[in-house]
Amino acid sequence: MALCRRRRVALQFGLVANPENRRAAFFRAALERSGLPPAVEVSWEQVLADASNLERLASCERIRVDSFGENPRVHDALIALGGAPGVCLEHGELAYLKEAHIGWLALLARLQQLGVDDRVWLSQPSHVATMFDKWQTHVLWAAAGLPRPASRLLPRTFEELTSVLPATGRWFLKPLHGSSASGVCALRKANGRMQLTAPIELVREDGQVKLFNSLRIRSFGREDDIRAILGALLPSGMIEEDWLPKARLDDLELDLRVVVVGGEARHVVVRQSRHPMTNLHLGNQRGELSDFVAAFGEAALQSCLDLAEAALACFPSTLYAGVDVLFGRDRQPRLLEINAFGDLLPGVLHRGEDTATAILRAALREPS
Amino acid sequence: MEKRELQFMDGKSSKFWRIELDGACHTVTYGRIGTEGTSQTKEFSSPAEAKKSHDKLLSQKLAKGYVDTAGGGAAGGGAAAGAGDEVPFIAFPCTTGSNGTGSHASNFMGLRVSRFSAGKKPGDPKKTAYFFGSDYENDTFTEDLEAFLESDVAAEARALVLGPWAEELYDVSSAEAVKLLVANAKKLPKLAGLFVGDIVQEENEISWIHQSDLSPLFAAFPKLQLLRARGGQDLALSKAKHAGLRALALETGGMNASVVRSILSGDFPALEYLELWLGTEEYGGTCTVEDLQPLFKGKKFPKLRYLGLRNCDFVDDIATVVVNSPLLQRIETLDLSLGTLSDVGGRALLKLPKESSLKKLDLSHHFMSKQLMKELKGLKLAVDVSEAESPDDEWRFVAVGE
Repeated sequence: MALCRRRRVALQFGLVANPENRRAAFFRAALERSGLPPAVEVSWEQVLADASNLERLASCERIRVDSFGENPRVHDALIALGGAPGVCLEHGELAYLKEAHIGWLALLARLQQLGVDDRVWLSQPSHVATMFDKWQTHVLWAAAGLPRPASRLLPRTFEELTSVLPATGRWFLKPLHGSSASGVCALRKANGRMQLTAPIELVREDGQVKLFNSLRIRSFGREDDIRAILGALLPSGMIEEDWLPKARLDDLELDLRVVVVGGEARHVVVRQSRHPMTNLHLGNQRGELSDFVAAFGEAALQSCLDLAEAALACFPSTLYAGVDVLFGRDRQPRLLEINAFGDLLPGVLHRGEDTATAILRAALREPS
Repeated sequence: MEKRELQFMDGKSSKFWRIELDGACHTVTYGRIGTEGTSQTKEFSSPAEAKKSHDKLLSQKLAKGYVDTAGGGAAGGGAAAGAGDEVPFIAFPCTTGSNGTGSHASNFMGLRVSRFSAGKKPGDPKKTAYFFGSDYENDTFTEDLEAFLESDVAAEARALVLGPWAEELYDVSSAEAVKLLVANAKKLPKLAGLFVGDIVQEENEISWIHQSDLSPLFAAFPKLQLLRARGGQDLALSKAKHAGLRALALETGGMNASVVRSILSGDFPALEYLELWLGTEEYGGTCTVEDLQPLFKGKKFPKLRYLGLRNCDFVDDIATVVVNSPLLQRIETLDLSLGTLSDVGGRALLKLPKESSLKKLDLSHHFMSKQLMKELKGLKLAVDVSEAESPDDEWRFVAVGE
């Protein structure tokens, strides 16, 4: 499939990514399949070492920005850039969320300083910055009148938290700057007791508390454990979100990951779970879209897709993102999150295209 | 012609599988119990080839937990399970997933679970276990149950599943629901199976579910064969006595010792199936291995075939003691699954008596080493060591940063 055949010359893409990551490989493969020249690549490590490395991208007509994640050297460097030098996180350790985010913002600012036209970026660096902040995103969507579970910014200590939460209820507590369910806690409170469920492993070492992201979802019922977990997460910033009942398919709760490309909702994955967290890497399962339609109807799916499109429309000129949509037991769609790099859905096709190819095609169609 | 019929039931399904070997052909028929099923006939080059395929398929099914229709005490001839008075033994378990409480049972006592809603046509009582439950939007539990008791199907109903009995469960116990059933017992003359508290984690934590004294149900329903309940808080069986009860299953996050004492000092002469989720002290459990001694002495429950001591954080202690129990000379299945079984308990189980009635040992979801799992599989009975839990650090993941 030679997508560029009708153009005068092949479009030159740039790529900022961790080159060893499967995401970069996924994009390279799509370029090759489309008969496009290889991208000019700059790694996040190079951007961190010297911003002038970005100048190699100056002549690129389109630039894809991809995740900094899953590379421990980059992650530690972000934390250092964010004000905590010398940190070396253990594999899976959940710490320094705020510092990593500050470092990430600084890195995105370096991209912005390249001074290329907004339309060159498939993902606007300033939009990416907003998407990595759950509260800012919430405010933006609220202003646009898009439905979301009720949400608020939480205080930074456990003591303050217990005083702001009502005596009875259930909530999701989410780190302001996290992804892949990292640090997401489902909290219940009733009759003076609390129960916290999270993909978190709590380790106490020499009086120190350490948290790790865990594929095993655990329940914590002891207050000193809950205090330790939230005491570690709250200072980096968290939001509280209403824990709404999600629709069920085959008695498993579900939500939808919708990849929106060029204003159009394309690839959809139904994520089903017996836990409050539906992220697929947590041992949950992909459901069938046809089962969703059979259970709730075509109009229900359409309402979710429309909402996902509206969510990305709040970031004009950003070409694509993965939008998580909650479909409630009341059959109403609500926005959960937007993931700037939520397009990695290998094997999921829309009109015969994978996400990377759909993004490429949309990028070629846009003016340059 | 040679014919074998197997059945399988759990909280999700109820199905049969039949194979007929006839010369160089075999015919496999499978489907939901109570239906005709689907048939497939295959022809082979020789009777020996057909027999080989037959044996392979059969052993695959048996390994998956299917049991012989005859040997399982099930209703014969592919008839709907539970259509007769006697509930088939294999219809007593109700597992719905690896942790057991993540999703509602879609199958209970071999019958398809279906919500009863006032004003909607109810399912066929021979095939249906009626579900009642409130949820976030509709607080209809009591209304639906009352309408059901006034309906024609009540007199024929074999099984009921009570889900969330209130929209907000934190402060409401099962007492009112139990009272309503007891007061209307005469309207439910055929009730053989009851599940009190099919409440999944999303609705409430298992350790927060408020139960109540369930023993009034025993006196009110003399034909009850199966009682299952979930939730340990305020659970009690003050008058533990039932002449016909064949299966008792109590799922808790922490079992109160007094409940265990009630059962073990109670009177259940017909009991064949006893499943207790003992839980942990952290979630209100007070039961210890000492409280189970009267059971291990082996004099109670002369008809017992299945003993499940599940979801237990002192299962190592249980394993150490149970190997010497005279019970092992007469029960068929010992189920120590969903707990924290480590090599300590696993090694003790290697000392199970060489000669015993035990056919199956379920240790799924455990913390034993690969070496010990291998040794246990060498025992001369079916041992399930699936869902090995690896050390915590192997579960750690790095957030992808999307």
